[in-house]
Amino acid sequence: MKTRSLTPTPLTRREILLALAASGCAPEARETPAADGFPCGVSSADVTTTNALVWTVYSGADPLFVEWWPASDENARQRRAVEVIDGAAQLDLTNLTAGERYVFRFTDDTRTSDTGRFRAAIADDALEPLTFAVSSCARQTTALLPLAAVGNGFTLDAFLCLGDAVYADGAITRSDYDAKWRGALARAPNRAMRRATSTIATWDDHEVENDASPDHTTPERFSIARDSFFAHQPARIDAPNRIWRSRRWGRTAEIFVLDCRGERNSAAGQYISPEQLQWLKQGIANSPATFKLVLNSVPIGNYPSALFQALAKDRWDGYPEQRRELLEFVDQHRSGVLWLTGDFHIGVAGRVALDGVGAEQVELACGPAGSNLPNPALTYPSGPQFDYASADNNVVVLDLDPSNRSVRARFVGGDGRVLFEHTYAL
Amino acid sequence: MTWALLVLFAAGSPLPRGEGQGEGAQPSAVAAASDTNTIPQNRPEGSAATPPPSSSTPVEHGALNTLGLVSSTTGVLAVSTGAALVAGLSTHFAPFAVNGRPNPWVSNGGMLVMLGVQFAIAHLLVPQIATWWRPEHDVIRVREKAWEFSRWPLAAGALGALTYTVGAVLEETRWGRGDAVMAAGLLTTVLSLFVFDVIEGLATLGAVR
Repeated sequence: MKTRSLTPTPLTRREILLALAASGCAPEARETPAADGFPCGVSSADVTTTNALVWTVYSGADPLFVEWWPASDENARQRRAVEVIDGAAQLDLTNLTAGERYVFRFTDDTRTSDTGRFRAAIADDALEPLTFAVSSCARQTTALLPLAAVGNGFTLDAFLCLGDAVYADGAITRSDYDAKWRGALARAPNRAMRRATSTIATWDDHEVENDASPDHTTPERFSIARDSFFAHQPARIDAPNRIWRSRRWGRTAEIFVLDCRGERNSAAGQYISPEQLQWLKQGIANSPATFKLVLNSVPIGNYPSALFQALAKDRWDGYPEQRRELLEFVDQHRSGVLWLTGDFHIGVAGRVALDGVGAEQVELACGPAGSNLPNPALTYPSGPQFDYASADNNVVVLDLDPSNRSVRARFVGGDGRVLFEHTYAL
Repeated sequence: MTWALLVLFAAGSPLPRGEGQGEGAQPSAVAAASDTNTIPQNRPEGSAATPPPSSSTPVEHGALNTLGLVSSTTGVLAVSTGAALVAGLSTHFAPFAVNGRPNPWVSNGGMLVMLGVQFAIAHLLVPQIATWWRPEHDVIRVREKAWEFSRWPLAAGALGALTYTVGAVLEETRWGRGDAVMAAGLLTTVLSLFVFDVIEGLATLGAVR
């Protein structure tokens, strides 16, 4: 006869973490602490073939230096002093070699930051496979496990952040916003992703306030939130205060970063400014890249459901003329455009529309990286327009293969498991 | 809101017969007879000062007794509604652990569970507790009296669940085709749940006042 021990089996660390994650309680006490003096770890951003922005928050008062070297040759280490302003330090590294992987860190010669990694953008004429991670909606009070799983478990060329990287709701002053950002970026999963590869980021509403829009959010608040955004998500911007920009990765990919929040004008039917729309259309038409990845923080896809339509005012669907103009343009010039989006707290893979304009275009809603409540819709998108929809927290790993113009999308959960995988020919 | 309604209702109930009706006023024997179905056995504390009922005088209840009646009725109704919502929501969210998305059929089952829990706790317990405070009333008759009214919101709740089923069938044919119908069904059921709550309480109190 079998006997059963009455001694309870001890829970593993993984089980405890999963239970805490499921309960919405972030296991902050169990997270690996940041290096002393560098509470937010390190970050790199908006790399080009020759340059990379590197960033940290430094809590000390000593002179600070950046050290960097090719991952393949530590002897080629370089070092430069960096100025600390309001606790943050940022430097544009130059003279990099296209496509080379680099390692960097900050030091005050007593304490040393986490070690960060990035890859310089591949040469303008290079055509090779690339791997990007993409996500959105990383509420800092949740476990954020997918960020750690992908940051620690994949070799990435860049991380594309679709906004809501911080939930700054309630912040009013610059110091409020900065405190929200630094609290979020100090979380171990955020540090893991940001040290693993460089970031290309846009923002969404929660970097300002819930459902932020110039229609009802004051310009002052937008201005403060934007300053704090740039202070914590380094970006190589083309004009002051302008978030929209593009980054080239050879002939494989061009990444178009949209600002879907700061330039809305509902009275004029403008979801984005006419200048931004024109820039996007020209960019798509003229880009030599095989894949045009559009970082579009709120979906452009049509969600033909009464409940989703009730909230259409907050996305492209609420601005039908601009949406139609853009989708028709992409239909005409369709060649490798992939819409990447977030905001909905559902990971979705599917077509932009069931039929008609946009029916051949693909949109991936990536994330949420950390949401404590699933989207409350009674049913989630399903076929034939949609291939997948799930509220599971995730980070999407995109494998771009220009040789056959295919994109493999893998939705990776907090335990590193692939929740869904599909390959799209663009 | 429920609590406030019940307090108002109780406050609006007639004072014990003989008070405030002018000197010498007496209740009719018919009224007295209809108010005393059972003889109280174990009167709760707080009603000790209430004189025992007789065949010719109605039962008088002190303020503490009324407060106890209303409080316990409200408390049970709050618990039943809370338990019903928790049971319904738990059922709704169960499929998320499997594939991260709702399953309309499971949610539909959750609505029935919600109604069942509400019915089981509220309809079975509230009349029982009311007659504990007012033992001169027969619990079965009180329950029958409450059921006269509370069955209608319960029926509306079931109709809501049925509407939700119709919406779910439409959703099966194509996403987005039935969610408005499902939402209408859900709203009907949830509103019915609260209306059932209020009516069960009011009808029970009306039956024992």
